[in-house]
Amino acid sequence: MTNSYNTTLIACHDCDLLQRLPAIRSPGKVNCARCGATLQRYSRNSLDRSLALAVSGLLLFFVSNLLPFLALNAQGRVQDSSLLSSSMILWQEGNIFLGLLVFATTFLFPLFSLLAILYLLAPLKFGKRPRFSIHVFRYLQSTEPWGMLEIFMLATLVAVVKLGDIATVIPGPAMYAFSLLIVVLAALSISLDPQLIWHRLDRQCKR
Amino acid sequence: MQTLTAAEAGLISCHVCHALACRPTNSHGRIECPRCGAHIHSRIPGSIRDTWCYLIAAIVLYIPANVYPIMSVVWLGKGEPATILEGVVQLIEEGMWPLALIVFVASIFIPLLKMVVLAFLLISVQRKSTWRLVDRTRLYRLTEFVGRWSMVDIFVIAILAALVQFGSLASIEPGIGSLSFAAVVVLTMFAAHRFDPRLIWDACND
Repeated sequence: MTNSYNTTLIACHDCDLLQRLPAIRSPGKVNCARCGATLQRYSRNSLDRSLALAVSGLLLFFVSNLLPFLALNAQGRVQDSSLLSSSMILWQEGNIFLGLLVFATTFLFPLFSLLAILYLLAPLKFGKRPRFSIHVFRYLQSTEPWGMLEIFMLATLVAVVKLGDIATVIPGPAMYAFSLLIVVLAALSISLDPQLIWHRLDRQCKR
Repeated sequence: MQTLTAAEAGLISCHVCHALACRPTNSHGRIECPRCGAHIHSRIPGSIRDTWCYLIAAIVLYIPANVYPIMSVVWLGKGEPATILEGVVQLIEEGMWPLALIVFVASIFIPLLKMVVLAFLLISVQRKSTWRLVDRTRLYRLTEFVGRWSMVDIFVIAILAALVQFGSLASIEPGIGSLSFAAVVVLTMFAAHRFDPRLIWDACND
């Protein structure tokens, strides 16, 4: 590209105010001077930490989806369920829109973001630039609000308490993996520094 | 404080990678970000119109979402459909206060708050109001952040439907209301995404 762009200045995405970024990147947030929006978030060892968290996140994701999640014991009859079965049941009963929505928000988007982070960060760690990196990172950033695993966690708690009166709820092994996954994903979103990744992608691009 | 916005300086901030690009003088149609290639624009084109469209669609669907049952518990062959509000009342009657509070906040309070706030922001931007710019921007950030949490009820229904499968003894089925409610959540998320908070601040630069 011949067009140039400025990286020492930043415009606030909420109020468009131009401001100079601090030269020293110390861990923490930089907020907009006018409206208070978070402009940038720095974390120490962002690349290494995010990579480690994404690897553990992916492992936990597979464990949570492959093992039984919850079981219900109502007067001797036991009903098993996995994470994916909630969207499958909706789909089978003809609620295609709801089934797709639950499938996308609890499986597709979270899996995509974990894979995308690994795909981008692993090569960057070794100074290489993966193919289609810019497209992948762009999609990663725009699909971020649609991964809703932490909301699903809250829903699980609500459902378990709701059923507690009628039947015995037995948490499966996937339940523990899933709880850990939520923690890992939260840590990942804090440690990931999009500005750093753009910067790295830039540097690789210039020869 | 001396203020200069990117738009006044002839710059465009990329909404994806935050690079600042110069606005070309002879720009026809779409401009691409020099860094990430996303289509960039000084303000989201048609922001107010699109946000109104999503918002009105959400408000219309909010009616069936509350009138029709979102879930029915079929117990020994007899169905017991319940709307969102009835679900909350049931939880209170059973003494599950914390749950009732979670469901009330996520399914009734947040969607209503979001629609009222978005309508207020749209009207105030259209009237070029300069009233409490910082607070209005904060209000926008709050609605954008909090909106996703309304999905809780949809997930609860999905989990219950998957778990309670005891044939004729007991089963849980999602109702028509849940479909409309999910659509309301998705539409308000689109609406919040389409709204451009920089429009709030443009009023003080004119």
